[in-house]
Amino acid sequence: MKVYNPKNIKEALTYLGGKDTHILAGGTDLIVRIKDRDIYPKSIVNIKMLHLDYIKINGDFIKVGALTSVETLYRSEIINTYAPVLSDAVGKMGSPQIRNLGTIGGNIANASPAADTVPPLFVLNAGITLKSRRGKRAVAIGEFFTGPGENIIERDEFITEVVFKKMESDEVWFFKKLGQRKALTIAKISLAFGGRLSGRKLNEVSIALGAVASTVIYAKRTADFLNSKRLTRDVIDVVSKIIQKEIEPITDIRSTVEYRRKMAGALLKQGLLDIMYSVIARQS
Amino acid sequence: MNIIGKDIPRKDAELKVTGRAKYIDDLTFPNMLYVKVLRSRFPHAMIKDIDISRTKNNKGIVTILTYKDIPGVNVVPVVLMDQPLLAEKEVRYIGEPIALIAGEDKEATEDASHEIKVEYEELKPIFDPVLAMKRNSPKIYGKDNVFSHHRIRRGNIKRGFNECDIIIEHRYTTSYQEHAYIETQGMIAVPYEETMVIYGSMQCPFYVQDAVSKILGLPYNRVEVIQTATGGAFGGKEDVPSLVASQAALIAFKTRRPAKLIYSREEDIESMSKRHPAVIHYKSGVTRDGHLNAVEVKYILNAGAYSTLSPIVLWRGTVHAVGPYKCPNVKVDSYATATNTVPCGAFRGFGTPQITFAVESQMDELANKLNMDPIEFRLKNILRKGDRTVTGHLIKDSMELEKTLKKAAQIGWKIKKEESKDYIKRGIGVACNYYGVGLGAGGKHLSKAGAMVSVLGDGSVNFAVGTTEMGQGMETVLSQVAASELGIKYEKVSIVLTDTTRVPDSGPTVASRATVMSGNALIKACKPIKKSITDIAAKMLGCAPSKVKLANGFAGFEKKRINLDDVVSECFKEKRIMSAQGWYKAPYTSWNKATGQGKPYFIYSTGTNIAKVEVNLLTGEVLVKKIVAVHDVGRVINPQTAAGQVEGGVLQGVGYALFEEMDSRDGKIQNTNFSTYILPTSKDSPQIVSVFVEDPYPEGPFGAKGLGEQPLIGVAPAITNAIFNATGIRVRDLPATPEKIILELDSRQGKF
Repeated sequence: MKVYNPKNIKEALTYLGGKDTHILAGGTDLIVRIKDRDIYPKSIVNIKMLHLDYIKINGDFIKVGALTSVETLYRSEIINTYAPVLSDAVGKMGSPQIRNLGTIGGNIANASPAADTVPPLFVLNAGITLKSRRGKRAVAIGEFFTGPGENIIERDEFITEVVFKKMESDEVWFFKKLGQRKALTIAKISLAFGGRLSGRKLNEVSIALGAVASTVIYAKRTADFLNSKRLTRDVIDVVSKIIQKEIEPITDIRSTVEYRRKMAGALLKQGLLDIMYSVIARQS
Repeated sequence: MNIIGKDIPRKDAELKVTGRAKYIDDLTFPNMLYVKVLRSRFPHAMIKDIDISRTKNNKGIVTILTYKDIPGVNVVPVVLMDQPLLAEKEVRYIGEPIALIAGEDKEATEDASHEIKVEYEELKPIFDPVLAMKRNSPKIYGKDNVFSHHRIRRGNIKRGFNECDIIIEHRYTTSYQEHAYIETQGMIAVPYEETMVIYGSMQCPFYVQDAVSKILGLPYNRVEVIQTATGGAFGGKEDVPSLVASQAALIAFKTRRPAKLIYSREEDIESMSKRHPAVIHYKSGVTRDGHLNAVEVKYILNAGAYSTLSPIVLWRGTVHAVGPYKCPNVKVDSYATATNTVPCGAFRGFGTPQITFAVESQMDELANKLNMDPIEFRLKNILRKGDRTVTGHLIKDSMELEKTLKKAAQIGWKIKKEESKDYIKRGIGVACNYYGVGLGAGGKHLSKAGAMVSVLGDGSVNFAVGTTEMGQGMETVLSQVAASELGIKYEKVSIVLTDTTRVPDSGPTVASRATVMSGNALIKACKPIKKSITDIAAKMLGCAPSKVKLANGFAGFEKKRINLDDVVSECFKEKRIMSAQGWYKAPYTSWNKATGQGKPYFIYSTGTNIAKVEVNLLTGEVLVKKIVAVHDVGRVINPQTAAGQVEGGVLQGVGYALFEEMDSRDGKIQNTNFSTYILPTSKDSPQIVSVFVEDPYPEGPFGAKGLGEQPLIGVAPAITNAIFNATGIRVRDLPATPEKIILELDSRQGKF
């Protein structure tokens, strides 16, 4: 096995393109797969020295380097202020040790349907920047995944940056994750919600779910139903039924199809109830 | 200052915290080989052929051995002698060892283990412990797949139930529990002249000695076993290290080279012992005034493919099948059955956590049916001094369950009104338990312990005991005992390396027995030395020996004090006895196999747990907010170490109650590492309030009983009783996962 340690992006790109070439970012998934004899890489391109560890404000946008660690995201004032839905999600990821190693680019590229950063990035409608010797391109995160462990990255390219718009103060959001315990846990199901609220009326709703289909998915029909609806107990009861029809979960070692289906409704209900309670509390 | 009952720092704390303690994988020997075990991929099959021709010439491979290479007897000695070290013609579980591969490095052995072709002919397997007893099931042990059967017969069960006003009957099931010791199994065997020296992680060096000697055909005195720092055990290093050591030893014996074998986590989980899954049918009845009058139990343990310790685990579970309560009419039948699954064995609690879950669930339901407070109901039925247990044992000493129950209730039996969301429900639950300390009548021949004490010329002390330190704090507690007995400073007392050539065979370090057994042996060993010191000190102080006080490094008489080092020095000049042995035999125990009557244990520890939980009705998640754990373990020698035992036990109990579920499909364990086998983390830990009620046990060292296992046993039922009190949902199948709770909620009217 050959290991390359490129010093810049240009050099890194020269090593890509081969069949059994793997990219090493944090290594939290890659090393485990090698040890398990799940993959047999011929070469590994270590991209840790490429200076892709940054979080920047650029006008209305936030730019995050692909090598930014989950812990850095979690501690970032910028993310906490302008992308609280992502901030909340990364706080529920792994353990300090894993968060220190794992990167946002790796979490996306790994294409797990249970990836914790992905549902919030769906709600933020993030763009993923990819570079290759052929040039660079940007892909919307909603178009990025093609199956479990599968995505649209070509062999000669890799993720360099994640870009999304700042959230504004009238936006409401929540991130819910059910794991088997409170920390160090892979989602049985996760749900990210974003939208705007005027009075008790919702608009521009976006909902994304993890671990309930072969990729993270948008719950588009559910979001459409909520748009321009007033938040009431009845609306919440109805919508928590609708969302259950929009997903295709499976039974695996972490949970069952029945539980996951029901929880899609329960998580949405819990989040919307909490929003409704806080609106009522503010109004009274 | 007396150091008994004080928070003295642990003897091993600094070594372990600074990383200087040597665990087995830290050791290497010149010319050392690495060993890998080739294991069965089928739950039940005949071995037709093992083809090593291609692999044995691999670069780095030194030898590949099968059962044919065993010079002694191919058996892992525990109780029934039914388990081979290496499978001969038939394999009976996935993970069963077939061959041993030794190589110059780990990678070579690992690669070879993937290349060796084993040709199998599959046989029909049996996985269900209840179906295993049916006549038409495949047979893997005897005529009925029953390794062991125990019974209790007391009073008249039929009349007993006829006298009851309320009778309830339910079926309970529990899952496997994995020990999850931080350090996996590991051994190094080193041939040295005529002796095979074994180093490794273990609880019971003399079990390892017995096993290696049988496999290699060597006398005990040619097998020297040395325990290295042991990174957790919980029963998981009681009998199974015998396998690991024998595997390494066989390679070392054949190659005349040191051989190292460290299990990966996956292979450890797949092939090593665990807590038995149980199926329990429990029927119990009370009279209207709240007295438990009749109990009928059928208790079935899934033992796995070989019997290992199952007969004794089952026996302990049988003895404790009615809990710490009086009951005049009892019928218990218990079975450990053979299935094509990994052999189960010892795990903290040893057959009692399963049955206690059923006992305490039933007690709460009876209280509920009687419309009686669960604590009040228990107070009507618990054992007190002067009562007889359901095995007819008259309790004379140290039984303070009532104090633990009242103390726990005083701290934890109330729910404060707090603001909360309407989908969160709060509840509290209680559970009592007791636990026979030591091996009792189930392991009588092993019920002894020895100790050797030497006071050296400079006043420092070495002591040797046959029980082991595995993280529980024995070294510290026994050092306190020796220091207190001799009056020598704690800092000057050290335990010697646990090596079978240096310590007396004291039976296994299990059953919460080390403090009582080795503690008593140690006190006896100190006696003649203490007499030497006292006599000489008396001379030096000019008083009668009976007037001399020894404490904390000094000998004193009235206001005069002299340094003990000087006294010791004088003892040496006078050629007094400064080195001695002590031997302690456990008090009498008895058991009638036909009736289940007798005195199964010489003393019991008791305790009460109260759990406070929050249940989320939307998600079915249970959050344990607080556990109040009150234990009666006699006199506490080191409160901080004892509290540590309680905290660890509680968290293991929380895991057993809510998280730890082993998914075994067709005999194959699916969760073979900690990303899928879910242990509670510090974030899942409740607030733990640990309290001891201390009633000295006259026979114990300084009044101590045993503690190690006690803290885990009652936690799960306290939590499930709290879930019931919060939501009305009764969980009868552990663990209480959100999936199960949601299923129950769904089946009810008026759900959230």
